Amino acid sequence: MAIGMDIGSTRVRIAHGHGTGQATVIEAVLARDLPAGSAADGEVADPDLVATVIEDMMSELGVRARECVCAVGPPVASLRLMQLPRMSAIDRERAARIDVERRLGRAASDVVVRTTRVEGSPDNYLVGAVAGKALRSRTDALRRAGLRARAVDFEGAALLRAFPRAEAVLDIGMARITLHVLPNGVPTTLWSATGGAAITAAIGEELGLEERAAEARKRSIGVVGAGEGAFGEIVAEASTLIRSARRRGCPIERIVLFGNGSRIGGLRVALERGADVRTVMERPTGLSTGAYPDDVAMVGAADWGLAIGLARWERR
Amino acid sequence: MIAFDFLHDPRTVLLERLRAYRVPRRLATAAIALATVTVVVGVGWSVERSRALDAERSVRRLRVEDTALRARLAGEKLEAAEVSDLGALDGRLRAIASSGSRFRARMVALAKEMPRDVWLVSLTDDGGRLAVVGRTQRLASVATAMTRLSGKRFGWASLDHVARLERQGGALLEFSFSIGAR
Repeated sequence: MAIGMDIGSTRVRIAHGHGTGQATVIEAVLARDLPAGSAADGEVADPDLVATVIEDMMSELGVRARECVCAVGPPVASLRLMQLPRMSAIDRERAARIDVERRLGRAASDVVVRTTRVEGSPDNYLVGAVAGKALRSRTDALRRAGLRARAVDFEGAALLRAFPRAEAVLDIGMARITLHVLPNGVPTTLWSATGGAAITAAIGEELGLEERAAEARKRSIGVVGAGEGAFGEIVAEASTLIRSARRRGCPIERIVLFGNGSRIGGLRVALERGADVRTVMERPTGLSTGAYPDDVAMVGAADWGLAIGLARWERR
Repeated sequence: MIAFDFLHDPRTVLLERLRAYRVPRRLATAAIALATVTVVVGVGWSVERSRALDAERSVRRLRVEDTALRARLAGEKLEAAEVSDLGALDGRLRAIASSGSRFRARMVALAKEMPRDVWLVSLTDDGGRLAVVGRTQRLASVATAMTRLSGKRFGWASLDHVARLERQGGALLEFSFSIGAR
């Protein structure tokens, strides 16, 4: 039994399936909005509130499994490839920590650093770094909901498991645009601190609407007549990320869109023009065809993909 | 497919970390001795723990049996008390039955031995003695009745009271005497 738990800034999604790893078949996906302010900037600000929502969802799901896999991503976590000579595990961890501190420009006192060898290449290691507070807040929320974190994966790795045929996945979230690419089997993540919330704020400001009304307008009619400037900035940011990835040797021609921000009307066309790339919405791999026909899966894909990828997590 | 875990180290890393801790040669014997003692103590502890668990299970089972036996014993005691009560009841019933026949015999004797000019007003069983109240015209008839009854089905008789009934014009005497049961 596999459970993937995507705790986002505004929503929690749970994917439940049978089997392990790539053989997992997702039978049910649940998504529920989080109360405002309960999670932000990659951290769970109010674990009790989030735990209550998760508990309610698990009770609706009606499964006995208590173990789940959740994820962390930018800006609180990073994953990168490092080449290291033969050395002891302790020395390797020290080396990885020094590298993380060099990249952060400060002492990584509350940063959890883990290394794992890339299969088939003895000198290549994946180095993951995550803010201790972000990791603890997630596991704490799960513990309060009566669950246990089997693992905490990196968002990029989970998304690339959900969309294994994709050259790259562009995640347009509320406050972040993230591009995940997989050159040579190692996920590379580029991100920018802007997202759908910027368009909502612009619509609200231009039309004098409160946040909820501006969000409803954005979802229903897009950026027609308001928020066009912010929309253009987001397209430009996303295009910059794609070009940046190309400069790093990732020939991106086709990109899978993910995140609720990718549903904004006109975004796909603008992005295709801006970055010269073909954009698609793809059915997440592993989602049961019996339980979720193609039309339903395509509508939900932008929201459920990460939870589905997490449910397909497998210990190596 | 890449699958990372920020929460746990991979097993290979854990093994490498264990291998990294090497024991100095001069402490090897002590370390081996300590490890051996630990293993022996561990095995002993496991055996004792297993036995303790068995003993706990036996105690639990015996406690349940003890409770059941106590319940059965209480039941038996109740039944014994019932049998005892029934025995007492039987004795009482027998006494009542036998006393009924004795009383009947006494009544027959009273009727036979009482002179014709004596009328009995009341008979009371007073703790084994029979109190007789009656009326007659002659005091001698009372004496005759007492004499006849004494020594037959009754014990000794004692005259308690004799008085003339004034409201009957002084023609009648009221008397009372008691006779013991034999």
